[in-house]
This record gives sequence, structure tokens and C-alpha cells, in this order.
Amino acid sequence: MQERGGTRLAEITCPASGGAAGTFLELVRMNLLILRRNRQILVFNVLVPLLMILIFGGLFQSHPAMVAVAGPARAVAVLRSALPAHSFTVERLSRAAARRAVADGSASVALIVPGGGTRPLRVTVVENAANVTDNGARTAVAEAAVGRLNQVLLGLPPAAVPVVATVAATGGTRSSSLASSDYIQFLTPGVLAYAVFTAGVLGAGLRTVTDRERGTLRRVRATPLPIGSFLGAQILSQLVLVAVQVVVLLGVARLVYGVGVGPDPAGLAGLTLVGALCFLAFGFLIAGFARGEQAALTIGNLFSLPQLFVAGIFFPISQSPTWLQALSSVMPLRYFSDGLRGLMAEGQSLGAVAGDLAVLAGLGLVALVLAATTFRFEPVGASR
Amino acid sequence: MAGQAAVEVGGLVKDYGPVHAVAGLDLRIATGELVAILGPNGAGKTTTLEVIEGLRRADGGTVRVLGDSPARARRRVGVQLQEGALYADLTCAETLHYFGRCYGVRVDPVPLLVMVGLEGLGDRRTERLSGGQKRRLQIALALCNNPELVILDEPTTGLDPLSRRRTWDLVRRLHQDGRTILLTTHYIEEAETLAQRVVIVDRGTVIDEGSPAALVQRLGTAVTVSLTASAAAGLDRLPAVLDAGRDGDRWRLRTDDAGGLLLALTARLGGAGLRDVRVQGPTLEDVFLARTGRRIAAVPHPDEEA
Repeated sequence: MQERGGTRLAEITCPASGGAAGTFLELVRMNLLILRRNRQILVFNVLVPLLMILIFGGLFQSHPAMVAVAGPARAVAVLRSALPAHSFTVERLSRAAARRAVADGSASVALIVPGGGTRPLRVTVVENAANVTDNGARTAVAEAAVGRLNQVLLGLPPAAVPVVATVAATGGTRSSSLASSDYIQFLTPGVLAYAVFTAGVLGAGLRTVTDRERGTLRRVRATPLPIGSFLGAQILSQLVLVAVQVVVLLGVARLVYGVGVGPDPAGLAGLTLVGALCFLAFGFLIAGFARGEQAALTIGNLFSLPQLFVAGIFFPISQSPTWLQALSSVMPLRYFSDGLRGLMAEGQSLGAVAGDLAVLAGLGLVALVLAATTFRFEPVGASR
Repeated sequence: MAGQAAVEVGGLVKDYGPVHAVAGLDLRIATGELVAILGPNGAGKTTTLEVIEGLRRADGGTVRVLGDSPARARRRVGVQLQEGALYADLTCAETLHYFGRCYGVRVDPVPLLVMVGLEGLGDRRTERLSGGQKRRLQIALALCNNPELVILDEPTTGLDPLSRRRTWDLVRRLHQDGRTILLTTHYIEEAETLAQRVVIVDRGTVIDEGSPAALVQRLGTAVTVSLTASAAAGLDRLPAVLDAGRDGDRWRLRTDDAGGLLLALTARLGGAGLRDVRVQGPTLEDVFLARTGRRIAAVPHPDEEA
């Protein structure tokens, strides 16, 4: 031990610059350091959902979906470069052959591109009426493709969405199974919803219980730090984790399967933020009730596992028995997953999923109020 | 500001359900004092500290810390808690940085770690520290805001003898700096050698207090002389002996006049006949024993490594 150590204490500590805001950001940085170092957090919140997308996406990937195009060769070339080759093959056919291909299920969708003249291009999208569940995803793909055609061929901005006539092909003899591009469009928003959901419910909630039972919370409470700053820093660092989830999951889904984010990226960000905050509140609420880490884990799993299977993450809930649909309608995750799917796979804007958004915001507020009343600093197992 | 109280606790009551953890405890600590609260486990030591630290609200009584409420005094108080309180995934240096920020200060971790005897461990994760090292890091946390009042809850429990002595040196230096120190302990020796004033607590109340010397003197001036003397007899009939015990060659003689007794022993046996002579005055353990009929060390401590 150094001899002058005691007298140097005043020199060792000095007021930190940046004031309360500086302290807050520094606490966020330290929280992120803790998150990054904890391998479990990375595995459960990022790696497992990523594997879900890769494995389930791969499992249902029988062959690339065929897009039949009737029109000029230039249009076919543009579409070939615009649509990811591993998900789509673009075939040039006559108009009649293209319609037949959709009708017999060998093509997912047909695009009939006029030879020229109109600005923007009036492209006819032909879908198979037998595949009702997938047509939303198909339309989204088709619209994106047509937008690209207008951009490259006519120099119109991609925002100028062309008029799209959707014609149902008649005489469809078989309903082709969900092609990879369609299922992955369905799966990706669901898995993203589940990832953000568990990060809030299990991740943040469990860490709060651990901090409380180990006595870290009470040590922080013995400092003059306002508790709002402490919790705020926890919440903000959790939102950074959610941002990492979004970027990794959507990035990989796009690179590997060509999954897009839909027409309203800002709405997607907004809905994800509301969902993340809602489930974070649920996590704090569970932490308030649980007597220890083990109990929190049990409660968290009881809360989240049924939702994983019944809230329509892996398969469309609309095809399930009515009692299952009724059950899923009381599950918070259902609204998050439906909302994200509406934005990403069904080409909707935030306004169209405002109902889901409202449910999440309302549930989040209720959970927040309850969490605030049950929050505890002291270890529940404390003997003194 | 001599005479101003750093801590003023009056009639403190804290109940846990039907249990009175603290039952009308009074405590006044002057600025610049080094005070040890001594007592067995469950005596209410930790609860009393937690009320002073603002971690628990009293069920009755008044508490003033540095002339303020416990909550408002936090910025000027350094706290070492007995348990946990560390982020497993942070290093020692990062832990000091984190908690320093909680006080709104920037800490230079290297000299602070040297002060508590954790030199070279700045980059080690706290989960990989030994129990004693964790405790010393907790003590460093108590210093990271350059506090006027340092509260240490059993600072040396679980430490090896060398670390314990180094911690005592540190506490003395902090005291010499002019800081007020309040610590709890269930080690007799720690209270005797370290504290200016000892407050003996049992069952939630103060049963005696004073300097270690004064507390012991109130028990009387008798000391015990122990010695080994082969083939000796009748030592219990020497003039100064109050009473005596014998186990083979080992004698224990209680006396009011240790000097006189030693002279008489030397005269009787000669220097060569006396071995392992030890003179021991009463300890704070005897004070506690006289007051309560029980021993402090009789209550095992959960954190004890030995």
C-alpha cells in the first residue's frame, strides 16, 4: 500500500465534466459495455433469432420463385438485376404463357409490361386467386419491381408508384406451396417481433432482478444519482440492443433472402420503438413480482413461450382453429408481430397498423404503471 | 467545526415484521471521530448503518447525517456495503469509474486501487476476484467520492490477516486526513486496535460505549498471567494471586498486581523454570460477556472464510 495514498484521495477524484447529461451518457456507455460482454445476451437476443430466420427460411426454400414477364427485353433485364437471384428467377414469356404459368402454379406472379408510351408504365400484375395468403407479399414484390422498372427505364423517382392492375388468374389447378420468398417475407417480421419481445421481457427484466438480488441496485441507491437517470440509462442501452437486433436480423434477411423493409421504414422504426418500450415495461413488471432470478426466469418463460407458438410467429394465425385465434388475440406479441408484418410483408404504412400500435402503447403504459408500483431496490431474500 | 456531530441518531427503531432489529438506539459521532460499532451478528449493526446511509427508512427516531437528511447527505458520504454490489462483467477500474460517475466525479482508478491493495488488478473482471479482493474493491468504492464521512460495514470480514492489517492502516490514514469513520465489526481485536471509541450493540440497543481502554477498565484492573512451569507447586498460594487454574504444567493466575506476581515467580522458580509467560488484561469480549452473559464470537458469521 502506498504511503501517501490516504492524503492523495482528494487528487484522485475530481468533478466530472458534462454535468448530468454527461453522467447519463457515460452510464449508457457502461451499460452497453456490460451488454456486449455478456455472451448470453448476444446469443439469446441476436444469434437465436438469426438462426430462426436462416434455418426456417432455408427449410422452406424449395426453389426460387419464378416471375414470368411478358414485355420488352430491356424490362426483363432490369427486373433480373432488381430481384435477388437466389429468391427469384425471371423468365420472359408471351402474355398468354405468363398467365398460364401463374394459373398452373409454376410462376408465383406474372408482370405484363407494355411496349412503351405511358408514363409511368402501366404494368399488369397477375396473381393466382388460389394463393390468397401469399398475395400480399407478391404484390409487395411486384410493386417494388415495377417501381424499379419506372426508375430505370423512364427516369421516374421510385416514389412515383405506378398504377397496378391486379388480375386474378382463373382456372388455377393447384395451389403452389409457400415459395421461399413468400414464407421468409412472412417469417422475418415475426422473428424480429419475437426477438425484440424477449429482449425486453427476459433480458432487461432478468438483469434488473440480478442487480437487485446482488445488491448492485442498493449500492447505486447509496449514491446521489437520481433513480430516473439510472433507469433511463438502462432503458436507452436496451434500445440500442434492439437497434442492433433490427439491423442484424433485417440486414441478414435482406442479404440472404432479399427481404425488404416495406414502403414505410420510418413507420417500421416507430412501431419497433413502441413495441420495445412496451415489452421493456413488461420485463420491469416481472422483475417487480419475481422473488429471485430463477423465479423471474420461470415467470418470463411462462409469459413468453406460449406467445412464441400462438401469436403467429411461425405460421399464419388466420389458418388456425377459432379457439386458437381467440387465444392469440389476448397475446401482446400478436399485435407487435401483426403490425411489423403489415409494414414489411403487406406493404402497408404505419397508419394501416395504427390499431396494433395503439394496443402496444396502451399495454405498455399499463405495464409501466404497475412496474413503477412494484419496483424494489432491496433484495427480496434480504435477511436484515 | 469541532463538536459538530457527523452522525446523530436518536431513539432509532426499525422493525422487520415482529422482530425489533433496532430498538431505541442512540448514537452520536463527532466530526473527525473514528468509531467502531461492535456486536454479534443480528445485533442491528447493519440495519443502523443502512438507515444512516438512507437505504432504509426508520420506523421511529431521528437521524441526521452531516447536518442533513440521510438522502441529501449521500454526496458527501462514502459507503461500503457488506454484500455483492458489483457488476460481474465490469473490471475493477470500470467499476470505480461507473460508481464515480454516479457521484458525478471522475476517478483515477490506479492510485485508488493501490490504496486498497488491489494494485495491478485494474483490468480484472470483478467476477474473477477472490472474496477478500471484492471486499477491498467495495472499500475503494466507498472512497471514490472523496467523502467526509466513511461508513464501512464489516470491512475486514473474510480478509486474510495481512489484508486485514493493511485495511486497518488505510482506515487510520483516512482518519488522519480528517475524515469521520464509522465502521461495524464483530472482531474484538479490530475494535480495540482501530477505534477511538467503541459502541457495543446487542439486540438493537447500545449496551456500553467509550474508548477501548475505558471500557475495559470499568471491569476492574485484574489481569491474567499464564505460564508453563515444570515441576512447580503451590503457585496459587503466591501473595498477589486472586485465583488460579492449572492444566498440567500450564498455570493461569489472576492478579491485581502483575509486576509483583512476576517478581515473586522469578524469585521462586528462577529465570530458567519459567516458559511461555503471557500477561493479558481483560478484552472487549470480557466487557460484552460481563454485560450480556454471552460471547460475541459465539454467533457464527455467514461470510467467515475460516
